[in-house]
Amino acid sequence: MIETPKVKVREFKIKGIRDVLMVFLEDGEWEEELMDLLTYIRERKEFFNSAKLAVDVGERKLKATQIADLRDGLAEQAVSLVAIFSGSVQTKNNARTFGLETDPENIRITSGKKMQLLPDGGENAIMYSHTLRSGAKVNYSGSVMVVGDVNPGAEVIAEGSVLVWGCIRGKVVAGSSGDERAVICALEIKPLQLRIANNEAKKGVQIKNPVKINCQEKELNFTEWKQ
Amino acid sequence: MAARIITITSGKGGVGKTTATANIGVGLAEMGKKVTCIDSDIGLRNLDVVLGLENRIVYDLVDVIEGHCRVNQAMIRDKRFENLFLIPAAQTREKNSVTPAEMVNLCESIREEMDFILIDSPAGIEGGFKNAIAPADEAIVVTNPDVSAVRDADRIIGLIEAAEKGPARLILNRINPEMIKRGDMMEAGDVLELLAIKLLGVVPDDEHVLISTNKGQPVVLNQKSRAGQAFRNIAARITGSEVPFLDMSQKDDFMTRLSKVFGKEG
Repeated sequence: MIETPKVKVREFKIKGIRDVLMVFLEDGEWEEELMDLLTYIRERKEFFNSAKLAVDVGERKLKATQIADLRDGLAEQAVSLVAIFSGSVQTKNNARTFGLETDPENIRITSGKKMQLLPDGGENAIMYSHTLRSGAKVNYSGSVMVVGDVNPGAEVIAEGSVLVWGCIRGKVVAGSSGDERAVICALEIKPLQLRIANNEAKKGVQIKNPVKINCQEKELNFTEWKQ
Repeated sequence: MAARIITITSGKGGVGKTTATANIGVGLAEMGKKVTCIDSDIGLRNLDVVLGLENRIVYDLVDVIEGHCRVNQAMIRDKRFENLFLIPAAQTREKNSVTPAEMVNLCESIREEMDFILIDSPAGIEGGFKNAIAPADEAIVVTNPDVSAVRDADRIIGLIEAAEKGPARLILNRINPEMIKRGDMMEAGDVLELLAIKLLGVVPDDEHVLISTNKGQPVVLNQKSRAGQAFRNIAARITGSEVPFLDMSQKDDFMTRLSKVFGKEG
């Protein structure tokens, strides 16, 4: 019910791919778009601090100098430009001369190797500091942390991992878009449904101690959660 | 004196909201408090029947809100206690005849004259519930120790929290003393662990409740009934008194388990 204050600041669509933040630019005057982006980042300094950024510039044809402006502007905000995605061949070639990645698939593969508790580095995560009761539904593109229980009738569906500082009694899905590296951790589980990617826990599983669940060869593996 | 406005709700129907409202109302009145009970279950009114005031209704809640009468004209004074009043629901109207804002205005208009305003909520989570919860300062959730009632209670507790009326307090109604003796009542502990709100009272399953409801004499007035005692205790706890929970099992293990979950408070 809380409305955010209506300030006329341009919003950018941001997405997390592994440990890289991806931002989408709209069509329009390049200089203006660049200024807006840099302002947007300056206003969210803490969020973007030392982030790796990939920029999708659409069909724009960018000159080498324009890409340099973008890279330097970002560097001033402690943000490092790692990739430029574009439909334009000219833009891609120019980006490569700066050593930038231009293929989104490579970002997914190269930077996702290290296995962490939160596979996306925790940058793309959301926290709930209360018990999720019946009727509550969380559907998130990153990881989800709950300080409280997940009660029967509540569900948490995350593309990343799910951490519950409490008891899972309802439905929890991690790696909902197929990421088998996602994990589920909880202090106690007695779930109605538990799933990582497409691998479902067998019905009636109940563990009264802190447990970490990961996926190994299409099987869910339950180990003690200590950390 | 500015009344405390308390909404009694449950999510699921038939768990004993109306019985609880009537008995808490009478219990508070017996202690000398000035109480108004409001039946917000428009179209399915019951509170008047349970209180035995059915044949005295002239005006109802919707009449007040639509301006057909003054609020005092719709307040029926109880036969037994001159400090207990009922504002009955309209029987021939629908839930959407009233808005949450109108409920707030109605309650505020009598707040200064009362110690307590108890609102009996309809079952469900739709408009009727929203009307009932809008004026509330606090909420009481009634449930039975069965899976579906508890699930609905959990849902409604979430909605009460979302409406910033929480934390709600719980009445566990229709606890069966025989089942406790047999040790089959283990779920009670689970109920409390799951809902994780403060327990206001435990009411045993007692045939006196049904008998007295049919007579329009709330069981709280029956000194011999265990359920009556439970409701007297609940009323006392609402006024801030520390009253120990009833010992349902004689063996004491049920209460030990409860106090483990809730600490000594109750």
